[in-house]
Amino acid sequence: MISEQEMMDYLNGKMETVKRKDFLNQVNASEKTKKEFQELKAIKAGITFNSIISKVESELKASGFFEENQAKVVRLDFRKVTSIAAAALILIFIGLYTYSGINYSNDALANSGLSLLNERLTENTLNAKGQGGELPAIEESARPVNPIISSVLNAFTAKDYELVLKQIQLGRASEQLLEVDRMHLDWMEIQVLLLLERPEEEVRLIIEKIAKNKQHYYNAQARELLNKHISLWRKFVL
Amino acid sequence: MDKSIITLIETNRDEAFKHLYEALYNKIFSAKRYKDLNVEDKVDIFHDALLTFTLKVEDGSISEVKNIEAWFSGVCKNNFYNKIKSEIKATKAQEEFQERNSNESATYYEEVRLVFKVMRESLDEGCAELLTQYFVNGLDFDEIAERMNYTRSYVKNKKSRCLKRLKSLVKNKSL
Repeated sequence: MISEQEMMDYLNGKMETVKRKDFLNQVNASEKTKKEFQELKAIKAGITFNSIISKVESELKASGFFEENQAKVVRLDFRKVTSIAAAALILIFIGLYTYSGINYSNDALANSGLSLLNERLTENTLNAKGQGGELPAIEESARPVNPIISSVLNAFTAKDYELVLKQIQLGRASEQLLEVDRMHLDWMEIQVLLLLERPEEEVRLIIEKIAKNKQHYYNAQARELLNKHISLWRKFVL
Repeated sequence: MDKSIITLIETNRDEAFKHLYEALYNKIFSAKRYKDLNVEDKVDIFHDALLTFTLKVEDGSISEVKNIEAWFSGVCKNNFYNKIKSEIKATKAQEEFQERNSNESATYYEEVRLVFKVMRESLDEGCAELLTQYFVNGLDFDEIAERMNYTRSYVKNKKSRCLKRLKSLVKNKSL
C-alpha cells in the first residue's frame, strides 16, 4: 500500500531516483492506487496552475493591463467607417483638383508672362535670338555683346536655360559688368525663370525688385507685368 | 509566436504566462465575437487555453502544435462557444488530443481544469492557501504550521478536510 506522503514525495521530486521506478511499478500494479495517484497529480497540477496564474493576474491587474485592454478594443461601426471613407475620398478628390489647378495656374502664368514680355519687347526678347538680334541698348552702344547675354540669346532647350540661369546669376555679381547689361540680365532672368516654370514667388520677387527701381531699364514692363498678375499671385501664393 | 515560449513554460512559468498574456490576450479578444464578454469571462476563457497549453507542454504533445498563436486563438474560440452553450465538454484542442491519445490523458486534462476552477471559484481562502502551501510549495505539516501559526495536528486535520472538500467540489462540477 502506497501512502499519500509517498505520492507527494514523488510528485515534489523528493523521492530518491532509485526508488522512483519501483514506486511507479507499484502504482501501476493496482487500479485503485493508479486512480488515486492520477487524482493527486491532477490536484497538484490544478492548484499549481491556479497559484501561478493568480499571481500573474494580480500583477497584470495592478499594472492596469485589463483596463487598458478594455479601452483598446474599438468596435467597428460599418456606417461610421463608410462615412469616414467617403469623407476621405472627397478630401483626396478636392486635394487632387486643387493641386492640378495650381499647376495649371503656373503654366498659365508662365505663358501669359512671356506673352506680355513678347508683346512689349519684340526687339529685345528671346524672340530676337537666331535672327542676329541684339538688345536695343547694346545695338545703340555698338559695343561687343556681353558673352552671358550672348549665351542667353543662343539658348534653346530647358537644359540650356538652366545653365544660362546659373551664368546670369553668377555673371550679374561681377563688378566689371556694365549697369545696363546687369539690367538686361535681370530681365532675362525673369524670362528664363518663366520658361523653366519656376515658382511664382521666386519670379515675383525679381519683378518686384525691378518695379521698385525707377532707374531700371525694364521698370515699366515690370510694373505692368506685376499689376496684370498680382491678383492671380494673391490667389495662389499669398 | 516563437516556440521558445515552450522552454519558458518549462523553466519560468510566471514569465511565460505573463508573456503569453501580453502577446495574445488583446489580439484574441479584439475579435468581434467577444464584444459582449466582460473581462472576467475573457480571463476565464484565456486561462482555460493557457492551462491546456501548459499540460500539453508537460506531456510533450505540444510539438504537434505548429502555430502557437493560431492554436490559442482556436482554443479560446472553442472555449467561448462552450461557455455560451453552458456545456462542460472538452475544447476542440482537448477533443483532438483525446482522439490521438488515451482517454486517461483527456480525463487528466479535465480533472486539472476542474481543480483549477474549484480553487478559483468555490474553495474558501483558508483552504486554498493551505493546499497551495502543501501541493505547490511542497511544505510538510510542521512547516505549514509554523508559517500559518497553527498547530501541526490542526494543519493535518484541516488539510484532510480541505482536500476532501476540494475533491467533492470537483466531483460536483464534473457531473
